[in-house]
Amino acid sequence: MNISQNLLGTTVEFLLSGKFTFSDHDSFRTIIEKIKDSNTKSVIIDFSGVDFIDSAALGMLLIAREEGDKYAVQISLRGAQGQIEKMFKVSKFDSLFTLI
Amino acid sequence: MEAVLKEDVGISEENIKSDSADGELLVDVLEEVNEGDVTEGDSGGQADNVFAEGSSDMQRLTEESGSAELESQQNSSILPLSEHNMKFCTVENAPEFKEFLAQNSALGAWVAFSRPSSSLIEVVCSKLNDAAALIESSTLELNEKFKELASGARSQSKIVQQVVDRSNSLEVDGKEISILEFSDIFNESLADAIEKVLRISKLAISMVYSLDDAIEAIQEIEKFNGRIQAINKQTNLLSLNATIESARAGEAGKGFAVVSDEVRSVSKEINILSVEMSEKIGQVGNSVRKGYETLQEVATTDMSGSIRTKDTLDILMEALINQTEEFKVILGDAAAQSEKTSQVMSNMIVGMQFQDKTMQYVQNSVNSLTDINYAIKYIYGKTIPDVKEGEFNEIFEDDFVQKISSHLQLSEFKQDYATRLVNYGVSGGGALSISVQEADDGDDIELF
Repeated sequence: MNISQNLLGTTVEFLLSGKFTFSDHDSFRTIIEKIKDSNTKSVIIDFSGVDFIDSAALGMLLIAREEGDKYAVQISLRGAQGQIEKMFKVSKFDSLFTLI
Repeated sequence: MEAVLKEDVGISEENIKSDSADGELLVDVLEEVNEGDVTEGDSGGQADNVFAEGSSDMQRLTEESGSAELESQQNSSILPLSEHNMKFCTVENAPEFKEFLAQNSALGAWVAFSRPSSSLIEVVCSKLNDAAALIESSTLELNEKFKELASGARSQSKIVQQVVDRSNSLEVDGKEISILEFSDIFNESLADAIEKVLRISKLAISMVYSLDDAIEAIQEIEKFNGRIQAINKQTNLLSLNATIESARAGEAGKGFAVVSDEVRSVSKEINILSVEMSEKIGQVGNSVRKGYETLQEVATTDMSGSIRTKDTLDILMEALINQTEEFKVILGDAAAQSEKTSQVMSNMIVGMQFQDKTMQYVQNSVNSLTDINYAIKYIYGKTIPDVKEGEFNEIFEDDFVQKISSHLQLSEFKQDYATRLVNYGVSGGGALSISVQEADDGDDIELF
């Protein structure tokens, strides 16, 4: 999976593309680190370019949420569609994240 | 009563049952008649006039009694009265009848008409009543059957209702759960399971991260160890140099040589420690990496498939609920159909009240015929005293009886008729017997 980063003031935007699976756990850590950064107030993770997501990836997102709570950073998930949307729905992510 | 009327019962009975044999007999008799002399006298003249007046009625009666010709009839000049399309008979327009008319009295013919007609009427009345009774019993039977059918239709509708009720719910642990309830319970359980799956995923990734950090730290330690060994090597070299230099210094360098020896042995110890540490770190590293591999298996077990089953089950539940709704519609149709059927049944039962009307028809018909019958017997009773011996038209009667009998197709009709002919005036016809007895004062009478 490809991750590209955009900085918009105190908001950091991460654009993901490809398949989001366990093997991306290392690169996902950059997002975790940015959440821990004191300059960051909110994080947007964009899924428009993602066509597949597995349960490991969902676990990573839950960790991100945990860190977000710890460091008072708002996490938003954007552009989920198809299989991603289904998985989010089944996992009740609408009650855990801000879905846009 | 002047005349004793001979009645050959045997011939009449046989007329009913047999075919050509008696026909021949009749032919013979009539031939005799035709060949006989024409006697003109009072009785003949009277007979002419009376016959002329009554002949139109006679014509009608013979026509109404049936149209079949005598089976044995070969010669049309014989038995002129049996022709069904016999014309209005007067001596003028039917000269061939002249002889016959001359020899037969109208009164005799009327009297001869009485028994076959009356008997026939009684047969008909009896059979009409039988028919009415048959209709009544059949109608009752049909009514019962229809009630059964209606009841059956209603039972069936109840059964359908039961089926739909059962299909709408399931029995679990002795409790009735509707499909909807079941769907909710199922969804809840599934949501619970999915939550746990996600938690496991999160913990697995979390552990992966921790192990990543651990491996990093181990690598750092290994680096340090490497550096220690490098430094140690250098220390060893230096102490070697120092030993060499102290040897060159002689006595003055003896103290220094001791120090450098100590340094060298320290260095050796450090080396040993370092090597041991390297081993231990290696072991730790291996354990961590092994744990990491195991965790990787856990974390990469993609449970997204299991998560998707919830989707599938949602679709299944919806289909199940839809089916129940469809069943309700079908049941509604079935109930309506059942109601319609019951209605049709009721209408049929009502419609079969034709039986009442039929009974009325029969009753009226029987009454009318009975009235006619009484009239016939009354007239017979009144007329009999006036009929002279030999005047009674036996031939006409036999012929008439045979014609009637040939039209009775059912054997039970034929037999009933035969019995009544025999019993005429004996078992029935109250008016007849009374009037005859009144006229007769103890004389022997042969009653028909």
